[in-house]
Amino acid sequence: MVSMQAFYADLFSARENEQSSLASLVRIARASLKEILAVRSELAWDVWYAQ
Amino acid sequence: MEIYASAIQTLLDHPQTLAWPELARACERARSHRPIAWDFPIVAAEAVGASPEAATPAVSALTCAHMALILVDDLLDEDPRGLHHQLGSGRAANLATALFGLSLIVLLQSNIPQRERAAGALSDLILRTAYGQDFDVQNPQTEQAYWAVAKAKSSPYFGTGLYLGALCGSASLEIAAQLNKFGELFGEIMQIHDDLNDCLASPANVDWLQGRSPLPILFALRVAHPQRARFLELRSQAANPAALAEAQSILVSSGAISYCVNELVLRHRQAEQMLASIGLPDPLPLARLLEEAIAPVQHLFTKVGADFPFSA
Repeated sequence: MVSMQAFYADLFSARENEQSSLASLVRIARASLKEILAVRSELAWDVWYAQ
Repeated sequence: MEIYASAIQTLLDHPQTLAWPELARACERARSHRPIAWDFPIVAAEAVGASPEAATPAVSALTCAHMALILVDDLLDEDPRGLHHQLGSGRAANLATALFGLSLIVLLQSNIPQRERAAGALSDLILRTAYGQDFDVQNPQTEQAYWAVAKAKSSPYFGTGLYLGALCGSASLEIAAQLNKFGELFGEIMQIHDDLNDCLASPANVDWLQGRSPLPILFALRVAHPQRARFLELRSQAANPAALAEAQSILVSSGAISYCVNELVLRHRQAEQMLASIGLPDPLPLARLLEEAIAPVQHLFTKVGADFPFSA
């Protein structure tokens, strides 16, 4: 597993216009918070809400 | 009767449930509040070539165990939505114990093959998750500890759901064990999604307010990036919507969200390979689970105009 620090170094040395898998991840790091909210989902531990 | 309704009815019909209003209310509430992955036993039964109805006892047991886990989780997290605010902590803890007991009884009193083995697997789920919860409540602050907690806290639930379904479907123990591993990997995917949802929630949820470290926050805290000092400052002000939004924007620009997405994509690919290696009569129900789990990531890539990387 790649460490967080190593991932960070790879990510910010990659170029957005490169044909690498990292290029897509660079695009995410440069997106707006509003765009990023698209990754939110119903995939979460449910909560036993008080009735 | 529909499978889930039948599974809940089994819980409601147990003599102890009939004699205990709070236990009955909890089970009754489960009718309209299906837990996540409640259908994993059904999916596994279908994948091994059995009828979905064969998995009904496992659905009862898993639903019951889920209720208990959430009761305990809310107690540990001091979640304001927890049932303990109505019942009191002691009675909520006691109800969780009862639900764990009931989950085991419904398996042991069922007519599924290997029911003692199934009950053993459920006991293992309870034991391992409790260990993971105890580890998690100590708010681990290293990458290694984070993944250890994810494997202990989240993986057993999903792995056991598939394992029980496979046993209900009379699968071989080898196939059941392989489905357990697949489910455990799926559990890690779920935990990453859960962490992303929590970190991107607004207003700030308990993870922000209690200074906890779900994966994106852990990244922004651990990695040496130019905005780390500012992130630390904002994190303590997360109750303020403007501070929260700025902190969440740093999660994006620091690469924390990219890191989580990368971990999701890598696990998705690994799970696809794992699924292909299991000799299942019908792998499609499990493939659909994977599709649903990666769909939010694909949606994100589309939203930012990027290609989906690492296609298998």
